[in-house]
Amino acid sequence: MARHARKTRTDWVLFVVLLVGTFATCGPFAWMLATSIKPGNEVFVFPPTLLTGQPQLNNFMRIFDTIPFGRSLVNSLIVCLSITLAQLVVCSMAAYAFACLTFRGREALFLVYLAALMVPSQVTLIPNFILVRNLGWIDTYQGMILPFAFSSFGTFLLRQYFMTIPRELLEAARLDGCKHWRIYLWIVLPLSRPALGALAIFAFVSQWNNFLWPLIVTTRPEMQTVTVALSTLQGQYNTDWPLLMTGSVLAVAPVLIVFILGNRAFIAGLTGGGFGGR
Amino acid sequence: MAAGSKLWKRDTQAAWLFLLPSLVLFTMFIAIPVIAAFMISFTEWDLFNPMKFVGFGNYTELFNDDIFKKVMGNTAYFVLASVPLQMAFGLAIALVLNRNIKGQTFFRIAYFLPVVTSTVAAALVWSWLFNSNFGIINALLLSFGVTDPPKWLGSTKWAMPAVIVVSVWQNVGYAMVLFLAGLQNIRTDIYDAAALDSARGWKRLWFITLPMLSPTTFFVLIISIIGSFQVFELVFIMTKAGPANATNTLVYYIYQNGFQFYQMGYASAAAMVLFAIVLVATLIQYRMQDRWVHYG
Amino acid sequence: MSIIKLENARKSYGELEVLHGANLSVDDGEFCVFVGPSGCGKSTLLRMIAGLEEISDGNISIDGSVVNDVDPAERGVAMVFQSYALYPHMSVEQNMGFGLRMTGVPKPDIVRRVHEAAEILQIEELLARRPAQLSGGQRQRVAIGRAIVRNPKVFLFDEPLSNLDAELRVQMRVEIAKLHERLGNTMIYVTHDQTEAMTLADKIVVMRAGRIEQVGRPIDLYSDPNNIFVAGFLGSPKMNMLSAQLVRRNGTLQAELAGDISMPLPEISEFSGNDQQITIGIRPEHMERQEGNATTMELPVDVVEELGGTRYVYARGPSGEQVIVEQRGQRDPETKTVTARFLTDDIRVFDADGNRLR
Repeated sequence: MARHARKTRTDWVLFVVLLVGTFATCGPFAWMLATSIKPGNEVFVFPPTLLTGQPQLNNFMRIFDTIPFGRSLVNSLIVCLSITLAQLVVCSMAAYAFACLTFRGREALFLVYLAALMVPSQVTLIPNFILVRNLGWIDTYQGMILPFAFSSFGTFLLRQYFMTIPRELLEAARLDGCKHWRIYLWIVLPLSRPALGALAIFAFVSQWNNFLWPLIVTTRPEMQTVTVALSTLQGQYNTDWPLLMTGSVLAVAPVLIVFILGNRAFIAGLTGGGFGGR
Repeated sequence: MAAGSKLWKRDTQAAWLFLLPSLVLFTMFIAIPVIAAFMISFTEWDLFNPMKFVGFGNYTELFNDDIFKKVMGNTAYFVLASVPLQMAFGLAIALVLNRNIKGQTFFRIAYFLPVVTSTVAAALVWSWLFNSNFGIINALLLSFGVTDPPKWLGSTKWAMPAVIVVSVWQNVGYAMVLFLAGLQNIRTDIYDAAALDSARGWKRLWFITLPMLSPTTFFVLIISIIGSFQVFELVFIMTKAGPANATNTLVYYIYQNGFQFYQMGYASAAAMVLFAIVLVATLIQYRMQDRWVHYG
Repeated sequence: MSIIKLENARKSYGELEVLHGANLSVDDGEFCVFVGPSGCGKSTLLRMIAGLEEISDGNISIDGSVVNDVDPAERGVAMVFQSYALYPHMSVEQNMGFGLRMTGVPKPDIVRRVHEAAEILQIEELLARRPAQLSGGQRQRVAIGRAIVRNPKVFLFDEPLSNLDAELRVQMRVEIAKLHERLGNTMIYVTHDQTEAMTLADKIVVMRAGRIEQVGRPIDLYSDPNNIFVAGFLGSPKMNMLSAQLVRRNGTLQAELAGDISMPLPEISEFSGNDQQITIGIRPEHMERQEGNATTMELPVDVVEELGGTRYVYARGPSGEQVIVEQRGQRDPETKTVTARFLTDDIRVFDADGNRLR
């Protein structure tokens, strides 16, 4: 009884500590939001006001007038959705070959794909830039999409999941008259929804936040993605904090919504697929 | 396997068809570029004039380059400070959350939010928080009686710690989630056995949990090191490598040389240094993983 | 007429040969059971017939044509898997109709055939459910139903009952026998359980270590095994095996056991001289003959297993080997010995390599 009481007390103390920690992790988001609804001059008051007396959405209008921020949001959406879709198709096809088919060189090729996980994207940055430039793909969607349409991580994640599908199911499908593309479409993909979901969320979020590549392959403001537009905004209005925070809110909100809705799948994907339902 | 038979050939053909899209993309955007980067690192090239082969010239230049030495020093400082911090916080939070505390899901999401936040946006917000004239951090410091708060991003001494704080803030959630997964993989009967051996509380943590967690810890360590070596956006947005190169790090230096100074060869040589570091870290990880399988 | 014919069928993985040339023919309408311990190659052989494993050498013919390179779906076979392999994301009806759908059968025909099969198996009320909502026995029926719907020339069963509990296993065994009666199709059935083999088969194929040991009717294999392995594998409890020396004395063939016990043996045509090391086998149910001119042995008892109707008395043979005596009738619990009484014709003789001496 005494030990039980002590355990509850410790839990309460820890709960409070965690709450304080939450303040540290989420505080910046609150401050971002608070600043975005302040009038332009109020930020130069010291000490700062926590909540403005005159909340306003003026900054959210202003940002679409000063730079093509709306267009950037659309660009990001187009690029991220395309990459996500492409990765789902390309990686799941490769994963099917690795997990469900036998062919000479399978292990070797898989190791080569895996080895690509060790290559930091900055290593291939310069040759890829040169390639995309020579193809005339600067300031194009394909220039932003295609270099990320394949992912070693995604292939690995899906292959691991496909391996857990019982062989007998695939064999039953073969006896039922399925050729491989049908087994892939009718059996393997429908059974892998959790893994595909995890990869989709992961790909979408990481591409939404991608910065360096869209930075170097875009020159025209109309082709910039959100992250690049934010940095442009910073370059032009580096003391207009309400405007910058407004941009940040708009850049962060879609991903946070996707994450909060799908956090389970996302974390499962990140930790290498400890999918639920065990 | 009967290599000659028709059924087998059909499987092989199907396999290559399924692999075709990934092979094309992999070759085009990963395999060839890696080789190309390696080759470019032996040249001098500004994209406009013809490429010139210089052998190991770029590498000897790198190792005599004072800025590069400073860059490597900064990167090491960044890695050595941010990795232990994010791991320690991540582990502590994971241990607490693993007690099935009230609001576990809420806390997990709250601590993970920074991970999924665009680093560019995060860097902007923190620039604002660290703003030396109107930022809230200095306002708080002043109200706590610090009379001369640091100039943060404007100071050669405090700019790097500020960047490190943001990096830790952003990555704690990731470490936490990995540790939490590791903790949940420890079988509960081991805790039951430990309870019979009267190992409780701190003793249990020290003698049971932490040793059982060591494979995860090592994995998190390597992942964090690899990630930290690639820090770029924080520097780009918060300090532009300044003041006086005080926050210039390896990837920023690659970017600077490649896309501001158009020294493709030199930038590629620096990229190869990054590649080597990541490669070594990954190989160590693979080696150690084998040694630790018995923890299951 | 034979519907399936294996000619020197081999299977190897690289250097490792797991099936060393199987020859077999299965007649149309026959219920054929492959039986043997795990790893004997029985499942591999079945999967080769299905087309799920490739044949490394030799030929497999189905209905008169060689199918070595024919796609599994085009061989006219249907398979019931050990794990049932029902598609978890489809309803029972979709599961059963999937094969027809893939081969382009019109929808009304699919519905009709699925419902016919469901009626045979009495699972009509389950058609809308998902596999996860079914019990083990129900899944088993759906898996069989899926095979029936395709109206195959040959049904293949890969240890279909091994995931069921004991009671259900017996029940399904009877149902499969009835189904064979009703449909009359050829069925090939793989199991490691000799009871299933004995009760279901028209023809048993006993396998060991990649080889077919013996093929024949259950009762023939039981009473006239070719070797010590087949003798020991079929029958429960196992046949008692006693080591002995073969001698011809006064014109009659005799076995000499340890402790100066000797007994007459049935006549053997291939007698090759005295003092040959042999094993003699006698089934437990033949150890207590009341009639005729029986050989008797007084054996010390270790354990008695009382089963109600019968009882198994575990005793020690002359050289310490275990001997089981199946008893009916009364037994005095105080007695520490049992008297084995068996006829000369009950004895099977095997040479030192385990081959039957006839």
